[in-house]
Amino acid sequence: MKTLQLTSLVALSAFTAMPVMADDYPNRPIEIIVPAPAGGGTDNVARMLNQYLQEELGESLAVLNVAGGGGAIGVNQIARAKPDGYTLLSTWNSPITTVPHMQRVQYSYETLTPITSTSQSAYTMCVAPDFPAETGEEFLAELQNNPGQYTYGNDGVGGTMRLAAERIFEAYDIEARPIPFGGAGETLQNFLGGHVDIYGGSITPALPYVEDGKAKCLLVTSADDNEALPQASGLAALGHPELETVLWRMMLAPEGMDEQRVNVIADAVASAVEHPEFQAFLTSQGETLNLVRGEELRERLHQETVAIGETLEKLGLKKN
Amino acid sequence: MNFRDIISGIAFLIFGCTVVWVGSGFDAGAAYVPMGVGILMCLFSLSLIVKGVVQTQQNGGLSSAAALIDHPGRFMATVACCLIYYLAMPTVGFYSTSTLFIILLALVLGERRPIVVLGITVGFIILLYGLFAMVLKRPLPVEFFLVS
Amino acid sequence: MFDSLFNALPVALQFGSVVSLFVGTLVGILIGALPGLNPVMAIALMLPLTYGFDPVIALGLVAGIYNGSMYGGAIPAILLKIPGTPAAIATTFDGYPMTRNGQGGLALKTACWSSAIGGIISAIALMTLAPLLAQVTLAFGPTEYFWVAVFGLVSIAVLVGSDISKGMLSALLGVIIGLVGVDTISGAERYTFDSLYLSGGFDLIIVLIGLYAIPPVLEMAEKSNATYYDAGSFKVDASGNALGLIRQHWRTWTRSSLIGVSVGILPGAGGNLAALLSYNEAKRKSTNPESFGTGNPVGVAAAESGNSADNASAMIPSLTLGIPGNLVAALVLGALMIHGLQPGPQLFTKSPDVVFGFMWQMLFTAMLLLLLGGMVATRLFAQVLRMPTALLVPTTLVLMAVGVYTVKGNMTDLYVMLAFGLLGYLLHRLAFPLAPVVLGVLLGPMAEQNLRLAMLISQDNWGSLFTRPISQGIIALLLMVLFTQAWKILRKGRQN
Repeated sequence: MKTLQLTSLVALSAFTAMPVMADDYPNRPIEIIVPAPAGGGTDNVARMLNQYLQEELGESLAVLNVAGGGGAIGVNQIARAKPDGYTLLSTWNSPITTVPHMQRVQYSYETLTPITSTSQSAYTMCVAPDFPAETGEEFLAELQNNPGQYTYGNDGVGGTMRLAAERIFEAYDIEARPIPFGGAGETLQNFLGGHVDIYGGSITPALPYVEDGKAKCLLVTSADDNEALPQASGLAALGHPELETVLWRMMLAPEGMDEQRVNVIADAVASAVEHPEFQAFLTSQGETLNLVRGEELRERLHQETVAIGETLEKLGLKKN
Repeated sequence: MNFRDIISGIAFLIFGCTVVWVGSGFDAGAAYVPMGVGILMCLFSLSLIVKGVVQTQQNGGLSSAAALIDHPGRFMATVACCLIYYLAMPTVGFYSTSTLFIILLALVLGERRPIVVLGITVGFIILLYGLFAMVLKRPLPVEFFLVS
Repeated sequence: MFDSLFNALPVALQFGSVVSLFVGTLVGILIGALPGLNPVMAIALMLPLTYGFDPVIALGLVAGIYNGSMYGGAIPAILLKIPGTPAAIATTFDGYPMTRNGQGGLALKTACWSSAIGGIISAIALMTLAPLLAQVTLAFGPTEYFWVAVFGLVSIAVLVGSDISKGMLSALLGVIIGLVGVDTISGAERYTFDSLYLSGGFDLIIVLIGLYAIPPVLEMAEKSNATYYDAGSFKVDASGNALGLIRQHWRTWTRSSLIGVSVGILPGAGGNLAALLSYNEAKRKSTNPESFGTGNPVGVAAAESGNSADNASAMIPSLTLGIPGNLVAALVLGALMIHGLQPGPQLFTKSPDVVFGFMWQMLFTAMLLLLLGGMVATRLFAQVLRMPTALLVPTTLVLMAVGVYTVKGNMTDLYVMLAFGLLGYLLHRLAFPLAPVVLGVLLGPMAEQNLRLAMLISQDNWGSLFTRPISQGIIALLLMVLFTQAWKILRKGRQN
């Protein structure tokens, strides 16, 4: 009897799901792969966006955290997934534009289907309150005058933060020793404990300590200054806007996803980010909205990949 | 027992040497710890072998241990069922494959009462469906009859 | 500071919060009891459901799942020798033998009380120490982390099991399993043999489920279908009354809870280490150490109060510094940030109701274990075990499959789990201890990474590993463990 009921239940649900057409999409939960551990910055923004995205799409979104290999593991997994629009990637730029230069990967910006970018933020460099510099200019001069003296914590080989720092250091002929930590949290702890001299990482985790006077942030890696960090100089203020390296987030899909479905998601993201709560959240994270869709997004990925490839070549970090 | 210690010691010795051999090809910084771990593994496996040899001589080479696998037939059948289950899951779908897997393995392991097998299987699958599809909304491999 | 603590009490006692505490604890116990579903996963799965709620209710659920699952893991550990969570490994050592001796009910009751006491002490530690301990944690740099990891690894390898060579080989095997993948410092691939799967490294959860959950299921499958679990042995028998338990175990509880609290404060080490260290301490202090492993209730009490005492204290570095003490703490941190609460010293001044309310919730859910853990959970779980083994085997295997699959949504993980299961079966049959393997996977890479960071910072000055006072303290502890163990072996050798 039970089996009969189950069979009819299954048959019924199969029947209701029958008219499968593109305009029906999505009709079941969507899996979102986040190539970073749960609780990190990328994960938080992705989950926050999902909350509003689910309202727009009328289907639930499940986040799968597939961390490892600088994000390459998660992106490899999506590259192999079915392009039916039920498995999507929510990532930041480094796994797509940087990691392929350093590791063997199974994907490239050329094959993944670009959906839309979402937001971006800069990195910052902070020092202890007794560091002999009060401005971005003094900070760089101090580093220049003491080659090999200072250590800076960063997010590891192939991380965008390290790349941003190396680009600036190269232009200023600075020699500082990179110490690769697992992420901004670990870097911050070691910086606060005095184990490394300079904090290099995203802005949000450092903010409370700036307010407390336990850290002074002197540099942001975007061209513009950052409102949240008045003491820090943007790269334009230092006369080098071309050195800008930012962290930005986007949604991608496996190769060959139906264009109509891509548009469904991109449209939903465009209206989801309009929620005032989401915008307030972004502001609190030091991020700004940035929506670039489709082929334009692919072009942005192309340009960044080429530029980063050149930088890495110059730094002697390029492997592939 | 001690005869087995000698064999497993030798296995670990070979494994440790392989770890050192592969590790010697890494860059300087990345090689220290793997090499060190491999060398330590060789040392401890040698101590295990020596201890095993000494004990074997004391016992006159008697191996008193129980069989490594109690019931090879059931063991192999269970592992084989698992492999078939994993192979079929992505194409057939999670809930269908799981239902068939439970029924099949229960029969293989000797449970022949149809009401018990079907009742527990169906109840369990409904419970899983409730938890993963309705409460947690976790995507699992999609059923073959629902693929779009 | 303590004013805000008491001001937050009504917040934690409002209706929605209390409901979420009950629901969370029950769900936590059940999820912890299901092998393959661990608290980290449960909370990760529950988080999206809490977005719509008030942060106090969301965190109440989290607190319940966290404390509940830590006890829930003990139920299958005691009844089936399958640790429901990694932290319940040490509970199997004496819990399962107790079941075999017909004392399963007493073991469960002991575990329930021990978990509750450990959780309560830990929550009190969180309330009092959180603001004070920020400075101590900060003094831990790569050098100190390296020594902590080495200490954890060596002490487990030496103390667990009968043969030191086997313990060390297990631990080293675990370290090598942990080293597979892309090296975080140089970016080089190690032991990946050009496989993309291996370049991601092995996930601890998958290795753990494979090594710990599959061998017992295979052993169960090998036995004839005639062996049913005797549901009678799962009744909570009257022999262990509360007063008796308190009189018997208060020393163990105090000692283990202190160990658990200290381990929890150190980021990285989790409830599993706390439980194993507590267990070893109890064994060392015991007048009758040989009875450990054969069904000594003190072993269960030590392991369970140790792993539960780790829970709330792991939140200390998370809430004060925004640096998680373990995976669950990282998820709670995520939950706070999703609700727009930035962890750090400001949290205590800006949203005292939420942060101190959460501390109260950790305390209340630990107490709830006494109410829900004994009666409801054990009876529910015992019903599950009335199943014939021929059905218990496949259903457990399905649960493991779904548990592993939902970690990363990758089918390859299932084959890897099975492979580790066969390896675990073999090692177990050859009398190699499995706990050091898992800890090797966890602590090996941590030790290596921090050693190399320390070398990078000090510019390859090996002496710097020994100059800092905290490092020296940990080294002294390490030597103490080694010498006591060596002395024991020497003494035993002379007796023979």
